[in-house]
Amino acid sequence: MDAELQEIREFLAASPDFAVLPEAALDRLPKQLVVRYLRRGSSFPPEGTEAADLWLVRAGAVDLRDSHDELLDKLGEGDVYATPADSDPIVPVVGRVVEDSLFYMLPARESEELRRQHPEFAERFDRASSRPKEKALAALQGAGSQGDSVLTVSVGELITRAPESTSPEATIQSAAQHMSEQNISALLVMANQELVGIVTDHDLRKRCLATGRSRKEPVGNIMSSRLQTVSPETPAFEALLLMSRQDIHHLPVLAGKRPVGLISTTDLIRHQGTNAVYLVRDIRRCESVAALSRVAKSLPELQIQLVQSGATAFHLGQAITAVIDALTRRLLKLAEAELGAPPVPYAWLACGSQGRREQTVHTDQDNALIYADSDQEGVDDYFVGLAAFVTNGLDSCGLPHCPGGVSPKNSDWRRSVSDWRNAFAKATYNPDLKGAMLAAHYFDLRVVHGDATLFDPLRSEALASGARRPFINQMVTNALRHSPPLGFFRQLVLVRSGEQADTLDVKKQGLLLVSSLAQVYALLGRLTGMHTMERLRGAVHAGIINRDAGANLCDAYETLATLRTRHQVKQLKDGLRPDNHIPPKSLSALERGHLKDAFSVIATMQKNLRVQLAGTGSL
Amino acid sequence: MPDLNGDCSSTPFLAVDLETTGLNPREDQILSIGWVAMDGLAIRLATAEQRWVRPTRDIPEASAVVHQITDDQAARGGSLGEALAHLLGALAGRVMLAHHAAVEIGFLDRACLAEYGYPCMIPTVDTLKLAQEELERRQETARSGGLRLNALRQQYNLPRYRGHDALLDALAAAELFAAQVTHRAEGRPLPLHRVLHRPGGLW
Repeated sequence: MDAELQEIREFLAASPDFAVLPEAALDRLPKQLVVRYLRRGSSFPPEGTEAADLWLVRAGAVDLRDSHDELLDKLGEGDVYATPADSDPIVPVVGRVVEDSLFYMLPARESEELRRQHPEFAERFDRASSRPKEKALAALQGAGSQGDSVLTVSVGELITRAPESTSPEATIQSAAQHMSEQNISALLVMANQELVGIVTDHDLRKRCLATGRSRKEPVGNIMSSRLQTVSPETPAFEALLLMSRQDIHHLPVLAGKRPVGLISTTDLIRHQGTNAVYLVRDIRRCESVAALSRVAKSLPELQIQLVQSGATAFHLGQAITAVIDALTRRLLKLAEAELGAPPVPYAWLACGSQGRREQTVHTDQDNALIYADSDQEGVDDYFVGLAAFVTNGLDSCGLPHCPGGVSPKNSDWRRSVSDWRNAFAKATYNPDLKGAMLAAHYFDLRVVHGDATLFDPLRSEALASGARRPFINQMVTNALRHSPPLGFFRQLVLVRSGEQADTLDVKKQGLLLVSSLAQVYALLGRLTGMHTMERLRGAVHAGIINRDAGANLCDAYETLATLRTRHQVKQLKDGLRPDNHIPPKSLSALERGHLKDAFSVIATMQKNLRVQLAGTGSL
Repeated sequence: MPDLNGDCSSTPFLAVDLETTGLNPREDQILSIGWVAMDGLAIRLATAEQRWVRPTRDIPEASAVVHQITDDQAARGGSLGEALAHLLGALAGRVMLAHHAAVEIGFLDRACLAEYGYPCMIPTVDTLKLAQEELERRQETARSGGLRLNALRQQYNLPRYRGHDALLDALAAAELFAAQVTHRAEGRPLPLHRVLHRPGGLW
């Protein structure tokens, strides 16, 4: 091509839509373009254009509205307008140029040819199946990902040898001999070809040598029989988290009922650099709040490491939450040591992003507490002290107190079982918006420590009774209180002319909108999953939303979360405090494109929900 | 032949820009010619072309810096006659468009005289002149530098091109013209004679 049109080629290559084209196709494009200037106030696309014409905004801005004048989209510099292939003539899109604008137009004939030759390009304008660009999302997520990290392999790929086993009747001595001959640290215990237990170095030490138990006793007496197992398909990362959460070091791998391997934390750590497991171990060893706060300082480092090794936002959330859960548990143990044993059983609950396991290092506390009903005096006082100890401890570990007062220090969030039952009932039976907002919090509560049987039945009851029309309507209203900031792109456009655009709060203006939708779906489908992605997948499975919609929302969520973790890693590296506020200038054209796709998916799903709510039929 | 009373938005134009060693057609030389055609106000990049002219004298350092043309590059160019023939071919049936067209007219007249024995009698519009008229209409005076191509483009929200060569400048002038006409016409037809700078000897 002519080197003179290089500048136009560069502009095309920076557009997320055209960037998918191979170099040679990009080289040919500038010469096929027609440049058009449209004045502010003109209708768009202008008269006399063909449906297949593609319009790339070179400068300026265009509003796209539906026939009810509701804003569907804003196009700014680098954005492309294409008449959707499946254009519904009943719902025409009305475009208006809102700023004097210059366009590069690819005429219908060339545009059709280009779409025919490059399906990956055509796909971007095929809104019927507007799968927001999985491949590109993968590209966005991870240039730096190492192919073979624990984040991408499955447990099955880590198995190096068949597991060694013994029977429960074998003596402790023979089991120990077997282990030292094979140079292994754990042995499966099998009875009638079924796994019944596991015996480890640790068991031998603690339950035999340390207690003076006879080595002639059967190994069945010292084995661990409450087993966690995984399948070969389990992602290695999940296995790692399971071990961190449960504080165990060996996991039998079962194909059906047949043991095919045994993996250890060492296997996993050897496989990559994450120190989530070390961090959890260090946390467990801390004997004071001061020591804990020192260990917690490496949380940001963990986030940087995970992101750089290609962790998805999902993985990152799981890992950070595992560590914060561990911190919380350790603080509770320290508190119990200082305040004495609790007078009645209780459970410590996590709410919000911790409840959903979606945390990043920029997070504040969101907790609640439930304790068994009792007539005893001073029960609540004990938990007031416990709450103060733990929340102050978390604060000194870099997790600030909840600004919204969602804390067991607050009696609204520290209740006995029957009190909580009343609170749930009040929130779900009194269908006002305030109740729905509270209920939205309640549905994200998860037991972090203590007696899960106190809380879990409440949740199931609420799920079972909550799916009533008036309550669901309020939950939908709650979920639709905020819409994605499509106007954000308008502001991006204005940055050029010197106006300062606001930053984007990627959590409040993006992630939480998806989470709220997922919550409504979870309620409709009585889904027990808590993570937004889990809920979305569950909703597809339960037929609440269709597969494309589910996949689109998952992608939107992952896009937003990826942009957030990237932004935070950059801040951490620059020595800044991580936050959720992304300055628009820091976004590349590609990221901007993805962000916009994510917003339009959210807007569409919100609209669908609103329509369903307004409809007379069942949701 | 373009119709003097025809609407600008259906008139064929050719935006032209010359890179020269200076502003005096008697002393200075054409280094390159860039052009792009407009059908009405739609600029067709398929027609974009740039021709380099092999200078008969060395390029003065100052203009080499401005145009980023080196002697080596210029040496690969063709003769002025060849470039001129191509340009006139592209101009056939079109109105020439340039920013500060006096320069283009001056150099092209001289080149045509030398080549063919008579001046280049092409009807021409001048974006700089249109900008001046616009100022007069609003009874304003131009600020210093306010009539330069980039300053005018900015007024119409046109992007700033980083490069500086004959083709890009021709394109920049074409876009400016589209913006000027669009604003002046306000949705109504704008006859060609209202914007014409020089009718051209053939009419």
